[in-house]
Amino acid sequence: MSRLDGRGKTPPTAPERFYNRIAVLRTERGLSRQALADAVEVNYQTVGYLERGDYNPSLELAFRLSELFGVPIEAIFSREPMRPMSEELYSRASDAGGK
Amino acid sequence: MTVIANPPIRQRGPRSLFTPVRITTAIFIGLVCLSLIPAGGHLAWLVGYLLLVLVTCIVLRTTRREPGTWLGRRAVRRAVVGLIAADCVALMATPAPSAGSPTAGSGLLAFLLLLVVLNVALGGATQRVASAPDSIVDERQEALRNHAHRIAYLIFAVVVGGAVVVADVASTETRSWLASGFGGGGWIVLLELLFVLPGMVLAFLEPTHPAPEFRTLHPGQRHDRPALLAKALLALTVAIPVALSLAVVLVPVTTSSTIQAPTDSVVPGATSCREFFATAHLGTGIDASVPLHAEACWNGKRAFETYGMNAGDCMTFSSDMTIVTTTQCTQVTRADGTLAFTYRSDVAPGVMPFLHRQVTLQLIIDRNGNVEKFP
Repeated sequence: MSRLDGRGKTPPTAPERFYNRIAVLRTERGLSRQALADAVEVNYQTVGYLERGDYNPSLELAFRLSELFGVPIEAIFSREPMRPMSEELYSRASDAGGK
Repeated sequence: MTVIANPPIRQRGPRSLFTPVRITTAIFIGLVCLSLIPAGGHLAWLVGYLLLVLVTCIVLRTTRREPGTWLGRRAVRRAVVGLIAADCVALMATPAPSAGSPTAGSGLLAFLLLLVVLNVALGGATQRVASAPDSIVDERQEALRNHAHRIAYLIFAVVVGGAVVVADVASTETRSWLASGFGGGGWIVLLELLFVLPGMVLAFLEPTHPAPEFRTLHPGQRHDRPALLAKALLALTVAIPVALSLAVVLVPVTTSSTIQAPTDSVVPGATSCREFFATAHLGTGIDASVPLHAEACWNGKRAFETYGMNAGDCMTFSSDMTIVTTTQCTQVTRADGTLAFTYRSDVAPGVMPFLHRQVTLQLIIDRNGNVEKFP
């Protein structure tokens, strides 16, 4: 999937759109953007761009976020639009109960 | 799932004291000081104002601005870039200051001041990422900065290099345009493009900043005080020259005058003589003094001048950041023997030359030595 900037050109910093749950995970932990930015050593605006999906992080930054939130990378980032966490957890719980 | 409520805060490397931007700013301020010091006697005003500019720059640089403020919007940033480009074109088109045309110099100064204000706005909008060292930018900013530098290099090479090459080989006229272009604002534009073009490209490319989060960060505070201080200082820096320029045009002119006996010997054919001094003063800081100095004698039949209001006598005005143009400088003896001296000049503040006012100093003395009009 290629994200276009309205003039038919792919922006240099976001060649492909990734979806993420950074905003949800950050809010759950009561962190401000600034606190999260300081923790993963980026500018606070970069956190905003990440949450908005305007910037795709490097592998290193993705791992830092994963370590910080204590969840696997695939729980934070996805190529497909992400389902709400509650829905995902509920379906997993249902699957486990069914078994 | 492990919840980390208070994640460890990592410190970034210290910021360098001598960055290219700081060195350039210091050189620029030094050059402006050196060029203005011989121009006027109000050195304290000038030094005070330059100190205010310096303090404003330091406060602006040290103030952390929240993302998403109006300058963070892409449309606003693009408008700032467009204004800088237009200002550069205006600087190129403005002729260099010369003795014959003092207005040209003031136009250059006005465009230069506008460029400084726009550059400050651009720096705030981009958080000066374009000139930031690696130690203080993150991976996104680094990628954006490098991309902006690549594009800026291409633009600079094509626009400046192309213009120079084409102008040099096209014709004699274009060659002379090339030489004269760098005599006025050309050098300023060249330096602007060299140092600020990457910032302009970056401001043009970067998407709108994320919405501000100030309230979340400081729930107890209604306002970000350092940012308010920075805004107040910036407003003051712009307001001072504007207010002082308006004072030149709006505040009533103060005049002082004295009449004294002439120091030189007795004038043949005259009953008596007097020397007249008057000065009209406009403005403070940005100001001008227009003096009238004339000597007249009379003998009961007519009054006549022995000094003053001839060509060259009306060029003794003094001005600080103002443009004084003499529009009338005459001495006329009327049929009834009355002598009238008129010194009329047009005064405009240097930073806002489109504002101006007329100052008239007049001395009318009848044939018996009665002063009918004098400030």
